[in-house]
Amino acid sequence: MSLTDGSAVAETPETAAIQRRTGGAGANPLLMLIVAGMAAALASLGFVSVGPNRIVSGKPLALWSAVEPAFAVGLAMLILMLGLAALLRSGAWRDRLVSVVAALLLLASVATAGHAASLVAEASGPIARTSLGAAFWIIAAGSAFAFADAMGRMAPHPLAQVVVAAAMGGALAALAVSGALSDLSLAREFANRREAYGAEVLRHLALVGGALAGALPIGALLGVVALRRQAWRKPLFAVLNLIQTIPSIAIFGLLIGPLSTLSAWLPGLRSLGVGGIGAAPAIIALTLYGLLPTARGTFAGLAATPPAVIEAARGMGLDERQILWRVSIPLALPILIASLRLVVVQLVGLAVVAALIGAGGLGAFIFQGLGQTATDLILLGALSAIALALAADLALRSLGAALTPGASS
Amino acid sequence: MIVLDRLTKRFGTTLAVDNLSLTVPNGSICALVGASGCGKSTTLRLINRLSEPDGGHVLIDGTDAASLAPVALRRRIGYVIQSIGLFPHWSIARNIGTVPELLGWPAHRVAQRVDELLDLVGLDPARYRSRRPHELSGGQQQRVGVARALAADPDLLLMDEPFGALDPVTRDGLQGALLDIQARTRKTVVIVTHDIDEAIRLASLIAVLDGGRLIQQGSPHELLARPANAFVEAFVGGPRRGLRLLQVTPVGERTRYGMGAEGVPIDAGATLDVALERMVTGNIDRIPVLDRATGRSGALSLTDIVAPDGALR
Repeated sequence: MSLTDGSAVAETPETAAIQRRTGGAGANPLLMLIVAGMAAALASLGFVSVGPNRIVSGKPLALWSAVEPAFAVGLAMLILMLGLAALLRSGAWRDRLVSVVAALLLLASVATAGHAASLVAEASGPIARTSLGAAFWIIAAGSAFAFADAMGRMAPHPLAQVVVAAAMGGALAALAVSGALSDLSLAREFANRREAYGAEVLRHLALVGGALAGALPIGALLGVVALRRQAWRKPLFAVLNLIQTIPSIAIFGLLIGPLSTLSAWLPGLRSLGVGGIGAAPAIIALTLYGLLPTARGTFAGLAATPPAVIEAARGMGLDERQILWRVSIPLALPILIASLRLVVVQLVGLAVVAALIGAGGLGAFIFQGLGQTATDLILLGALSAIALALAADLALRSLGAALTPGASS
Repeated sequence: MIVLDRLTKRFGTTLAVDNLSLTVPNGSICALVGASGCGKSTTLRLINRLSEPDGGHVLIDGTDAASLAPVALRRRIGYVIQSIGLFPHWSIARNIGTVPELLGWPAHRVAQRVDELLDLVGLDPARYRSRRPHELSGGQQQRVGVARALAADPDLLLMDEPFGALDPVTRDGLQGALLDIQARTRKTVVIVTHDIDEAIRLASLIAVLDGGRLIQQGSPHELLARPANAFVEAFVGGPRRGLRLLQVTPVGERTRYGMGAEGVPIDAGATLDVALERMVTGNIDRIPVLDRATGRSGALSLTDIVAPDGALR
């Protein structure tokens, strides 16, 4: 339908149908390649890696040596099933089968790694560390890709996608909570920092939230200005583009000077916690990064309103505010939400770097891990940031689906 | 009554509207015609202040439009454009009810008015009120566009090439619908068109514009019979001026009352092209005429159509 023309919506049933058609009626060669890669990885690379303590890097341990044969065979059977599914004729049934097998494989590989860690802990004591190995990562990434690909082909309703993604996240969380993973080095790192973890997640969210509070209104305003004042459009986006190209570390560093001078001059600011390092420069930098996508999305969304509709609205006696709120914004909603997703995901990722200037957040674990050469601590921070970004994306996606009921029909 | 008083509008150095004066009586349809870029659309937009004049005034029933708030003014004036511009995210009912809703009508009155208007433009309310614009054909959409413009019962309706993008059959149907609506509601209509046949069919007053200036105004018959200059002659008629003149001349004007002829009589109010058509297809050179208003009867012959006392009067 016309509302979604040119917008960022790529998952319409039409496109899925086209993909299905152009994908041919035969087997899925990409999936076969992935399965072959998984099998090769399982045969030649370590499924987990076992080290004597958390600092010394571990030695790879193949799946067969790490767990009882039953577990290894189970995992191999799932990979085999995925390979057989890849040979089936393309269609809804194959997609369903692939998504179920891939989801099971992902969960099973995580559970198996947890089990391997428990066996190592029994055998070598509590100091020994079991990290996730190369074969695990290849299987996890491959099954995640196969799952996402199959889901994309089935093109379920946006709300159904949200439910499925939430179920996957819930299953992984249930595995973690049950204690099945608690001997993994990653879980140990988490356990050691249980107190700090919640606080850093909240801090991370606060950094992103603070930046959004600045970037969304300012960016939206700039987008409207770009729409209304043609002369300002080019210079405005040139400046915003320039900001976007400055490396994040540089911008955090560049803000230290002016902000510490400012807080030295104005003691009131210092008592508010504004200084060269800490949350204030981080939020300012993240706000700056959020401006371009927000302004661009607002501009693109509002500019997509058909001129005839605006002309008719004005001719009927809607004033400029009514045109904006009743016509342009509702029509731009799919694009606006898509750019909001982009901004949020981008800021969740960028906020990691803010830890460098003492702003805290999940980046703190990453930089501590780098300092201590503790890979699993780095991983803890990184995976948490990824999970946060995915969760935010999912939430906004469902918001978009709820607000634009006609978009998928 | 709409009075355009020495209206002038400049875009940069170009004069889009040049010292244009025109009076449109209440309850009439006035067509602004001319080639692309002649200033006809700009003139229309000056009336509801989508554009502000650089000189002159627009008087609506004696009130200077410049003294009214533009938004309030526009809510009192219906506006229909070629590209229709229905709100794609709203139902047909909400589209039509836009202005009444803005004016704060109670919901039940808006709903009642929407159904009334759908009936008026020939769309079944039960079938169409909750549909979305994209589910309708172009002709149906423009019917909704006309209904939307009439929603708050404005005295004045402005139409900017309203039927220009429609196929001939649909256009013909909508022109008929507009004439019908106008006959029933006595709206004052100013319509912009480049289609002289449309202007001849709809308007009682045609204003020919060229280069922002009013070249000639008058009834369709006046323009066809006595074009002011070669431009108007070429624009209103070209090679078909004589045939078009037949379309606007009533049979009664050429009838010889008291004389008789064979066959079914034609109404004196019908136009000469209809009479000529009857003669050509019936293979006759004389048909009886009946003036239903006065009861007089007479006859019209082929030579009367050609009007011996000067063909183009």
